[in-house]
Order: sequence, then structure tokens, then C-alpha cells
Amino acid sequence: MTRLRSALSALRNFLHGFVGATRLGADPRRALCEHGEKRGRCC
Amino acid sequence: MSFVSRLGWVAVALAGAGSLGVVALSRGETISSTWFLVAALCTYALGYRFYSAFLAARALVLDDKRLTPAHRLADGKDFVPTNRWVVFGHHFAAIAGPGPLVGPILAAQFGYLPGTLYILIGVVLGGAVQDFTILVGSLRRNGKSLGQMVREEIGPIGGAAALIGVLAIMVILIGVLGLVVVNAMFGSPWATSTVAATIPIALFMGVYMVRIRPGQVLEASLIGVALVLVAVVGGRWIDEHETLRVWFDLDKRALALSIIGYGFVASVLPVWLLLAPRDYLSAFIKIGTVVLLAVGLVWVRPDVHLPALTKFIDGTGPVFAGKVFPFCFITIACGAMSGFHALISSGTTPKLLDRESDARFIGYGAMLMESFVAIMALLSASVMHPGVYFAINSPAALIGTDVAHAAEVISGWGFALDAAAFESLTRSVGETTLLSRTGGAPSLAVGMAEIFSRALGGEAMKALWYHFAIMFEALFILTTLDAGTRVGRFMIQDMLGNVWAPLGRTSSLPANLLASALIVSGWGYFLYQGVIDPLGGINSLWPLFGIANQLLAATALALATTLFVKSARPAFAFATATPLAWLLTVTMTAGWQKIFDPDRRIGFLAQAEHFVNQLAQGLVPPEKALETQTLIWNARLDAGITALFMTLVAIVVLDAMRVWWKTLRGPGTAAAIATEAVEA
Repeated sequence: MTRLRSALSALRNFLHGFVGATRLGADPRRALCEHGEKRGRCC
Repeated sequence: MSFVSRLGWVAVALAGAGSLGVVALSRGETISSTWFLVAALCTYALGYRFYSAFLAARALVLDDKRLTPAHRLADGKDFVPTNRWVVFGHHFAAIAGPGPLVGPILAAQFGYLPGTLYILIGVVLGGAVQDFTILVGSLRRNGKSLGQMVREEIGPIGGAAALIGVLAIMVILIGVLGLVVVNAMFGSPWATSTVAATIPIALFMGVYMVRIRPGQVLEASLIGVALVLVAVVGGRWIDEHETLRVWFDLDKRALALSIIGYGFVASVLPVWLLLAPRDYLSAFIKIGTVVLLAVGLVWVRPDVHLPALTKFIDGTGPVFAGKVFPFCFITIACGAMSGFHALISSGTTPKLLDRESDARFIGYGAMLMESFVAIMALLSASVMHPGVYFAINSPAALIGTDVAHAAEVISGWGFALDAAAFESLTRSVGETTLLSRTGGAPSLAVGMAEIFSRALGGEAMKALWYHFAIMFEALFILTTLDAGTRVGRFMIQDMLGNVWAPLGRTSSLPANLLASALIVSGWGYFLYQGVIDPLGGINSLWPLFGIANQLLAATALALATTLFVKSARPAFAFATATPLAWLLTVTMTAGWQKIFDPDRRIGFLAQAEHFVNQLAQGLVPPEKALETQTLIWNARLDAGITALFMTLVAIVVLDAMRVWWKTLRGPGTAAAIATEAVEA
């Protein structure tokens, strides 16, 4: 039961990340930034 | 490791070796796709359990006591310690583009074996290692990007080469993906109307999430998915409607111009209105369809009809020209090794990792999952009869536009194609023609429709499944196309900002329009080039993309090797130097052949010369003279770009070798180790 619960939780988290990632990805300045530390210019 | 556990792993190894043996040694008989799935899963399990564990423990020495940037630099925005499953989902979504779907389908012209072996071996020893080591490298350098790390660890020349490589990949990838969509939709009102409907649906979702029911992401996504399914079914009605079908019955040029226009608009519009909702829609459909395909393959266990090897390993293949070495490996690209992933591994992912040890699961594990998507794509192509596969994927210049003639040509290649059965297949998927729908997407859709309809709905549902698959692929590709255009726009604005500051302001409309126009013209040019290419476009553009992508992978592996050389454990550099040596051999050979091969289907210069001779001998009708001039220019341009890629690879690797030599021979070793210790 505990294993099933943890597997379901992992799946939920994976989906959350998968969809959340595309939310981050929707702002490509954050998802694919070549200048991670230059805030305000690219990121 | 306990005795039972050891026994378990021995069983996995035996099952993997046995299945791989069946896959590799079968000749002239159909085999079940189950062997492929077992071989793949066992290979991944062994690679993950043993090789990645070895890299994590011995080579990279991951240590949870060392705080990650997400903790040290936590800002609640970019640097956030995150649950490892969330980061896994995030990382996988970012690396899973259309590459692993299209590449293996095209490479299936050599038979299933070269592609399968490369996808499995390449990922375990190369692609996953690259993603993993770059992730750890960035993790220990405050989440720095690939470009920054190359500049700092190798030098400014290598850094500049990497930057050019990234932009070039974006431009060529988007151009060739646009071409894949064009080839899937031309002359097909059903497919075109379904894909077109996703744009207003995404706009509606954007307005819904921001204005009507702010923040209700799941609700808007469910409505969006439902509307898209209605659009798939409604597409048939449009196809049968006398007036409406004319609106969506577009030729290749009109479709290319529509896609160019869409890319420009998507780059200019605010993110919330089109990009973000389209990404949500795409995310749900992507994951749903990939899972559906996996379940379908396990449920149906279709037989593989494609032979292990075809005669086209000699380089005379109709899908794209060139021998199995090096072109199979350039073509597969993303399913085994992708330079693009190094951008993600040094992008958001290192800023989110909660513990250092999570890097193994995310960097190595997510790439294995991507490779599994590539295996499923390869299987979808392999379950088709070879004659059907070649009829769909060969350009009209080779097989003509008539099914009877195509059947004759393809039968001449040694693959039986029953014209009547092909016509019937075409009708059963609701198309007027499936001939020469090059680019991989339509054949993947036919394969998926075959698998899905056998699991659910039978023949009656085949047309719906086919158009669902086309919509899935187009949505997948257009998501990459619009996000990639926007990334390219920001990169160009960043560069232009160095020349004149106002051009770098992302909120300025004129600067936005200028940079969008520049990036869209870049990939739009390649897309249009592909559309007018008499050999189908994919033949020249996909290898060009493959070379660019592998160039970036070589850059990433040269960086990872440099990091090992500079560390306290330089001997472990073999882990990245070996795939680097392989990539260099493949990329350089492919690049050389693409430029200088005397066969005009392979060599760009031979292609240009052929058209020059045709013009000189007056063999070109006057109305085609201008187009022929363009083709000559395009072939020379492609040769120049390939030469540029090869030079960039050489510069980066030679620059890296200089650093290795200096570090291993000179007094720099201690300083470099100290730097690592401080950064860590």
C-alpha cells in the first residue's frame, strides 16, 4: 500500500514537472537561457 | 548486493542479451516487436544500474553533503530545490522534441538493425553520459550555461563557436521541422484543418486562463484537449464539405508561407496568449500519446516487417542518400545523442536539483526515456511492410506520382508493393494520396494508426487514428517551432543589444519585430529551400541538422572531457572522450561527404555542378531558369554551412586539446583542482 502510494505520488510529481516544465519553457528566456546570470538582459 | 539481487541482474542481462540476439540475428523472417521492447528495457536497466552508478560513484563522486545551487543560491524564482520526480518530468519535457520521432523513421531505410543498435548503445555509452556529465558540471558551477562553461573552461574561441552552433541548430532544425509539417499536410484538408484549429483553440485557452478563469490551468487544458479531439473528428466533415475543403487544400508553397507567418506571429505575440496555452495543450497530448503508443505496442505486439538490413546500406537509399556509416548516426541524432540536451542540462535543470545524487536519475535516466521514445518510433516504421514504407518516404522524383509506377519502381528495389493494397491503405486513413509524403511524420502516423486501430476500433477507426497522430506530430513540432523561434529572437536581441542597446530590449516592439523577422527569415529560408528542392528537401536538410546537432554534442563532450582532465580524476575522461572520438569520426566523415562526394544526391557541390551543367547545356526550360539558379545557390550555401560546422568542431576540439595538454603537463593542474574545490 505504501509502495503504491509512493508510486502514485511519483507519477503525480512527474506529470506536475512535465506540464510545469512547459510552463517554464513557455518563457524561453528561462528554459533555454545562454546567459543564466545576466538577469534583466536575457533571463 | 545480495545474492537474490545478483541473480535478478543476471536474469535481466540474459533476457537482454537473448532479445538483442534475436533482433540482431533474425534474417528474412518477421519477428515480434516484443523482442525489441525487452532488449531495450534490459539494456537501459543495466546501463542505469551499473554504468551510471559507476560514473556517479567513481568518476563524478556525487556527494549529497555538497550543497546544490538550488540551496546555496535559492531565490524562489530560478534557483528552487525541487522534488526529483518534478525535475525529472521537467527535464524530460524539455529534451523530448520531435527529433527522436523523426530521426529513427528516416534511418529505417537501412533496415531496423543499425538504428536499433545505435539507439541502444549510443544512449547508454554516449548520449546519457553527455547529459549526466554536463548536468553535474553545471551543478558544480552555480548552474552556468554551456556557453559560459565553454568560455571559462576552454576559452573564448570555443565559447563563440558554441554560440554560433546553437543559433545554427535552431535555424536549421526549425526549417526542417517546418518541412516535415508541410509534407504531412499538403493536399490534405483533414490534416490541415485539424492542425489549423489548434491555433484558435490555444488562443481561446490563453484568454480563458488569463481573463475568464484566471489560473485554472487544468480546467483550460481539459477543455483544450476536448476541443482538439473535436477538431480531429470535425476534420473529416471539412474534408467531405465541397466549399470548406477548398480552403484547406493547400499546396506545399502555400503551407510553407502559412507556417512562416505563424512563426512570426507566435514570436511577436505575448507568451500567455499563444505559446503558454499551446505548450499546455501539447504537454497533455504528448505524454498521453507516448503512453498510448507504449501500451499499444505491448498490447498488440505487432510483427516487424522491415528487414534487419536493406540493400540501401550501400548509400543508394531513396529516403536520403549516403551509406549507413556515417549517415545512419547523423540521422538518428536525438534518440541516441543530442547536443541540444546539453543546453537543457545546463539551463533550468541544475538550478532545481535538491541533491547532487539526483543528477544521475535526471541526467542519465531522462535520456534513457527519450531513447525509448526513439525505439517506439522506429518500431512504428518497422511494423509497416517495407514497400509501403518506401512508397511514403521516397521523393516523387524517384518513384513518380502514380501508384502503379511507384509500385513498379519499388518492386525493382526488391520490396513488393501491391498497388491495390496501397490504394486501399490510403483510403482507409482518409487520404487522397500517401505517395512521397517524405519527412517521417506521415509514415509514423500510418504506423501508429495501425497499432492503435488494432488495439481499439479496428479498420473503421484507422482514419481517425491517422489524423490524431498527424495532429499530435504537428502539435509537437509547432510547439518546438514557436518556442525555438522565440529563443532565437531573444538570442538575436541579446547579440544586437551589444551593437546598439535599444535593440536588446525585449519589451520594445520595433526591436521585437526586427529580431523576429531576422530569425523567421533564417529558418523560413531553409523551409522554402526544402519545399522547392526536387529531391524532397529532407535529403539535404535533415543531415545538415544532424551534423549541426552532433557538432553541439561534440562541443559538450569536449567540455565534459576538459572538466574531467582538470579534476582530480583525469583518468575518467575516457567516459566522455570515447563518445567524443566517435562523434568526431561520424561528423567529420558525414560533413566531408556532404560537401565533396561526387554523387550529386550526397555532395552539395556535385549537386550545384549538375545544375550548372544543365543550365549551360540548355536543358532547363526558360521558366525554370530562375529556380535552377536558386537551387545552385542553395547547394553552395549548404556546402558552406557544412564547412563552417566542421571548422567550428575542429576549433572547439583543438582548443580543448590545448587546455588538456596544458593542464596535464603544466603547473595548471593544482590550480584547476583548487578551482573545482572552491566552486564545489
